[in-house]
Amino acid sequence: MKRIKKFVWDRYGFIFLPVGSGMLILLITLNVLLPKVDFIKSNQNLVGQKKIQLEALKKKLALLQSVTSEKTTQLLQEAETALPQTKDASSLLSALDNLSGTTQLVIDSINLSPGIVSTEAARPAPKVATDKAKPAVSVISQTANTLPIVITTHGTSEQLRNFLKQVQTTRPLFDIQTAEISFSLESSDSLSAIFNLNAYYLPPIVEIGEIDSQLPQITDEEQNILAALASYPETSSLSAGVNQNLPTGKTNLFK
Amino acid sequence: MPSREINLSFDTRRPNPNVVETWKFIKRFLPPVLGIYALILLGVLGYSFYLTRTLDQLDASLNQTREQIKSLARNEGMYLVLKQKAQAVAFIQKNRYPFADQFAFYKNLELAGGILNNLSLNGAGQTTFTVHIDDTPRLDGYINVLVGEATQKFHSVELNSIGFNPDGSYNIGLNVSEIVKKSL
Repeated sequence: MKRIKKFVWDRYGFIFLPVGSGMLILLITLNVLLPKVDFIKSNQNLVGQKKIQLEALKKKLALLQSVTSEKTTQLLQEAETALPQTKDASSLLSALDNLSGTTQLVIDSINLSPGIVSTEAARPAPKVATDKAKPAVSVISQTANTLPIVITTHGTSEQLRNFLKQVQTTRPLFDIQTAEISFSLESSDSLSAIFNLNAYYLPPIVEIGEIDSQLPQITDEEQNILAALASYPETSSLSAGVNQNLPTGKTNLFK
Repeated sequence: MPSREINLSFDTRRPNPNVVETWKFIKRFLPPVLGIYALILLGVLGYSFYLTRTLDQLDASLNQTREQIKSLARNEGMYLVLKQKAQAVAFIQKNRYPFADQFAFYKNLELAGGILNNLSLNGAGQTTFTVHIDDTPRLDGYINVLVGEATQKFHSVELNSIGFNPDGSYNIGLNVSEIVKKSL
């Protein structure tokens, strides 16, 4: 038997060995190598994508960690006074009153129709969106809502000029739509004017997009505009001032 | 008939020379081929192991960063509100019409001899005004000054009305369409 085996090996071993090795290689290739190559092919790009994703998330994290800085908070407060969240009729009236005071242009009447004042800000606080939520960019509305105001005034040309200048560089923001100016026949310097103004309010966003979504960057131009807002005087300080000066009555009921 | 003898024993001593050559060939080339294959196999297995580990680490980092971002939801809200305000303020500021400058311009035109009776300005740059002018030479001077500004400042200047008063003075109405340079 041993001799037969030796004979077969000597005669046909040169066929069995390469064929056996080849079959083994084929077996390993089909069962191990090719699946692993597929795995590498599909995951090589995935690693790259995940690295980019991680880098983006880290940037977002760094940005979010810087949000609580004093500068950002201040910018937010200034932007809030420029563009309130709600139709705050009292602060608008107070702003116009203050403008009239500083420019000496007398306001004869103010026609303000705020309409429904149920606050759109009284929505749930910003929440983390689900996976199906919109990306962060799409949750932001670009334009503010307008609140039309009609005012009639009288004064001098200089006062009017000051008013026109200051009404557009004050917080809250106003915009003039039309100005109808009539000059007095008796004195060329005395005039009356009717203004159609727009005041603005902007309800805050109520959702903040996916965790993985990129934050829309505040552009340089927007940063400059926000910085310029800081130089605008805040004219709607009446509500704050009134609150400070309001009689509070007895603070201790037992005295 | 003489009987014949047959040999049934295996002749193992003298293998076929072709087989010997083939064996030599196999012994020479099969080990390196197997070695190279083994190297490739090890390389692929090693790289896939590395990829698996890298992916696991990346997933862990991603999840950790996501958790950190999730915990800063309030900050994200603040930032987005700031962005929202910045966009809206930028939009408002970009579309502003410089009323004070325009009023100053028309008021300064009085130096050319016309006294403004009324002036109507709107944000689209349409201005309508009436001017009282004492006499014809001043009317010419006023119109010349206005038209002199036209190429730089106005799209069009239209005469709306002209009234001749008994004392020799004029009331003229003009409709001006300005080249609006929105202020920032």
